[in-house]
Amino acid sequence: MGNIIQVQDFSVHDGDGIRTVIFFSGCPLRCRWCANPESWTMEPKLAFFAGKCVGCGLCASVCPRGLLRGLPRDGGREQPGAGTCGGQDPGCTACGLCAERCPQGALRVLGTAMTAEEIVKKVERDSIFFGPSGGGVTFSGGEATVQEGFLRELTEAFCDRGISMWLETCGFFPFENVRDILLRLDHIFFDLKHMDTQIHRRMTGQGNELILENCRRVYETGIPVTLRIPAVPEVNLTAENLRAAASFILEYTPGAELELLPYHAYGEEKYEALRIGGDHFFSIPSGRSMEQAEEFFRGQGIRVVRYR
Amino acid sequence: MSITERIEHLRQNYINTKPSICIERARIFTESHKKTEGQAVAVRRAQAFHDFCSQFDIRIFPEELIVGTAGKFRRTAILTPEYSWQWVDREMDTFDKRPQDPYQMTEEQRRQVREEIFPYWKGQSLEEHFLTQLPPQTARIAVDTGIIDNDSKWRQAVGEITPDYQDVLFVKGFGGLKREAEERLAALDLSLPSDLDKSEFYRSEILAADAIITYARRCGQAARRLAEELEAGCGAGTAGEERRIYGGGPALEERRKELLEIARVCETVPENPPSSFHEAVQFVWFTQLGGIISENPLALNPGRFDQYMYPYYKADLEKGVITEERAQELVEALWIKFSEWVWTISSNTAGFFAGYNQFQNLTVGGKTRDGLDAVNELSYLCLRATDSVRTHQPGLSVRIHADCPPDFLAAVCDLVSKGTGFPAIHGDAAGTQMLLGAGYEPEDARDWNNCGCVVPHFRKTGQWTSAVNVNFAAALEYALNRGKSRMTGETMGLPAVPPAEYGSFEEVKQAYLKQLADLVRHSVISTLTAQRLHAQIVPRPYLSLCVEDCMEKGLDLSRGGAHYNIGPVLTGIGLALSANGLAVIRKLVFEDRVATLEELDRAMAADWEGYEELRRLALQVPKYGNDDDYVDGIAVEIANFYYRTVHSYKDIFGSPFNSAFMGISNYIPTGRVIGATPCGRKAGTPLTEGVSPYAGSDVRSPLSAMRSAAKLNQDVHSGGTLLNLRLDESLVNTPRGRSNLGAMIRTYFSLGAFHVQFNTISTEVLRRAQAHPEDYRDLLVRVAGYSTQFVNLSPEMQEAIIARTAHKAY
Repeated sequence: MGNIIQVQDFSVHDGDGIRTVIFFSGCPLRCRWCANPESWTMEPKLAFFAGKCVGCGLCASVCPRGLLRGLPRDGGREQPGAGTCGGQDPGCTACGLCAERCPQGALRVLGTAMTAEEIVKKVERDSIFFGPSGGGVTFSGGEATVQEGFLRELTEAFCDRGISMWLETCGFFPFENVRDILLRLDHIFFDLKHMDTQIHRRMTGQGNELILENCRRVYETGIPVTLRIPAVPEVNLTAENLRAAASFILEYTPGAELELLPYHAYGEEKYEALRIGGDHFFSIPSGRSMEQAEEFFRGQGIRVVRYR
Repeated sequence: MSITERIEHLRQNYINTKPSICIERARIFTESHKKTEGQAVAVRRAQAFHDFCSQFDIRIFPEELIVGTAGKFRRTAILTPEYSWQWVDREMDTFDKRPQDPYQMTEEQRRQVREEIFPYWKGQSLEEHFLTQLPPQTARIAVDTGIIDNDSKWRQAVGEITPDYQDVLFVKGFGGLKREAEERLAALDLSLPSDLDKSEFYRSEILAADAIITYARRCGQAARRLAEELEAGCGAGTAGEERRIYGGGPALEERRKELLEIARVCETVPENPPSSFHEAVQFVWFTQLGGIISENPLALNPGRFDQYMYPYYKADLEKGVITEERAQELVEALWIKFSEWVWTISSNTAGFFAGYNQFQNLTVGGKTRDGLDAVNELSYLCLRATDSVRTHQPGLSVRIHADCPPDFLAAVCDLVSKGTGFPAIHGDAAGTQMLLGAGYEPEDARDWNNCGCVVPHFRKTGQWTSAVNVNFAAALEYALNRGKSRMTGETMGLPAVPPAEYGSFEEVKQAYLKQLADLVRHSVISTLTAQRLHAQIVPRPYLSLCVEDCMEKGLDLSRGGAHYNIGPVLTGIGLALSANGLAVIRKLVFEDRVATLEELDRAMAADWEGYEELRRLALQVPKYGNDDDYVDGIAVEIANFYYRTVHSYKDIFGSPFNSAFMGISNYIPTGRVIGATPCGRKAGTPLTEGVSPYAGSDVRSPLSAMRSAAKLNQDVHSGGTLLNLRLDESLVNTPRGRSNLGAMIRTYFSLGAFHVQFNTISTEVLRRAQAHPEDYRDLLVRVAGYSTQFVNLSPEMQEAIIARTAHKAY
């Protein structure tokens, strides 16, 4: 059994061809710009999209734990949010009965437990589209290596079926523990979020030492690597960081290609729905600044790509 | 942007001009018929066609390269009162005001038509004969009801022909055909009854062939005259305009020479086989024009243009008499010609075939008759021409086979990404299989082209490829509502038990299929009635020249003259909607037991008002288009049943009827007459088209929608199947995205599917076009099986297009 956010077919920006992306739950980092906060921890979560709620209170009527936070005693049910605990009550197990009942789609359970067999079966169904397009599966998250055993089981199954496997990783993992898994992969997207370990720690909760070391070691395995910089203007789209990244790449991973992914704010709604506080919002990089950064790397002799 | 400035001028004129009714064709045909009373009907029709070709005041419009029109205007619509005139009489006062496909018509034209033309046809038209002869039980459900619709087969000519350039027209020319008819006529023994019939036919063929030759020669004379006027410095008419456009210098002199060349071309073809690419292009337009003038047809298909035109293109290139650019200019000029003339149709028909569409389908790519890859430079040139002029005609179709050149598929995906809805993309193998199933020889089955929107067709064929639209949702309504229409309360279907008396899902399903079979039966009756009348009243001397074996048999197309006579196509509308509805009944009523059929019935009768909770549950039941066998299985079962039922009937030539799930715009008018449906749909809103999912309900991914559609044994529905998908434009705006699109297409066809078409314009762009139509006159969108200008669609139709789920990648 693994904890999965979702298995998404018809993904075309996460590697070559038409791919099915398996989003794992659980992540060792807490990047401030993260677009998938539902994947930080393993357990399924109840998300509450307040904008869709009409306060009908039907959710409260089915909650097996009787969590009726905010429900008025009589009348006044038009108050949005009435009836639901919005997943915030410590007693909520995200069983999802309220979400099923909700006529507005204001409640949704994010995350589910799946067996490797279920995932393989779904992917096999999608696989007819892989051949002609050069696609396959991509492990994403969260951080897929957190569920090391489950990831191993999947890579073994897909390896036997000849299905191309790509991985999107934050790079924060005990290398030796997952080496066998990595060797089965066809391609790895490896994030370089910041070259300054202090800033890295401030922005993601961890320093970058292990990540940079893993980056070198992954590169040395000979598996094709695409380094990825999630371009956040206030954080890492600075001249200094770009220079540092370029010299790291040229020194340690000279044959790796590089992709700059522009920060986007699509995660905003999910932060609200999961009632996660704090400042998670940054400015979106302009097309011009993205091109300038790409041009800089190209000027350094680094191959810049776009999987779009 | 058009390839040359001249083409761009022609294109701007096409975009910015409203079509006008020209009554000349109706007037001359009527005058002619007055003089030929007592003669054989085929001869009368051919004589009338001849009279038009000899008398019509031919005009050449400024800057034209390919010449000839069916009326006085560039964008001309014509009237054909021998088919029907009553609807014109009823509707022409509002022609310019109707929401879908308006035409301009003057007060004086209306007076002339009412006083001088229509009185002659009173009681004589096909429409009147049909309405008189159609059995009343069928008439009740088949005349302007939206339940069974075949008015395009008794208010209009049939069309649905692909002229045979390969073996007939380019080989013999109309001059050769005329001589052949003369020889065959001379060899008849008029003491034999069968030869008497043939003599009528051959006389009509001689007249028809001579008519189109005459028309072409007169075009040549007009071109010569215009050249002389340019030289003489005449300042009026086209000459005056051209003097302004070309100035007085060498450009004008060049134009004058070009006009002389045009004159020479028109004096050569279509009387003789073409000997250059220019002649071949003009030949194609004259052939088309002959069809338009004689019938005002739907779906007169240019067919496999890249195949029969290639020898002329190649030879001219080798001789150095043409460049690639000049060839494309000629092709673009032809595309504009295809688009300028307008099919005149009733507002009812316009609801089914929206967007001034003439359904002239032109097919490129695919395989040769031998089974080799058929793609050539002209295949690419046609794609480029469509991209360049963005006209709604011809309906550009491509055939993609498993080993098709990657460059060709890339070029196809590139055109898809432009958002024009072109080309319609077809699976080569499925098309061939459909024709084999319909009884074609293997070589002919490989040589297919598209007819109209998505019907696989072959040029040596007489077939009603879009005979009837059958409203599947009506069958469901009658099964659940005691045989009555929810909207009118009238009994329309077979008697049915009250909802409470259905004891199992199986009983409901069987009741539905029984109603469906009844609709098929009435469709057959209505088609046979029309088929018989076509043979009697409106034989087709001109188009009989264009299809092989009519000449050999001495038999008109309408009487079975073609080499192949394939059974009429009955198109099912609302397949996905019916499957969705039955799935709701199965799940909510018989499995989960959360509602009874009576409650569901009450909810539908109330159009779901007050039953929001039940509607929510209904909407949650799996929907077709998401690769879920729970509901897809029902769709497959309905489709298989439909095929068996339709195929069990035979037409007047003894050919079995064919089933289809194609689109056209018919899912909107057919929805208007259907009350709320179990799937959660509200009364009066659109149904589903072809094998497409219900708009907005294919929420998983286009891959799932494709899988659902591919389950339907598409290759038995030899009248064609249609899948429309909307893709977010961001998905195809990079080479990588387009390459993935190509892979999707290949995979879909590997599953046995026949057709898929994409709209890739974003919702925002469509909304902007609604708000500022003047800025978006050339915005083409895929309707269903064809593309047309978005701003030429009624607001209702526009909303239906926007409602289709746009698939985005994650």
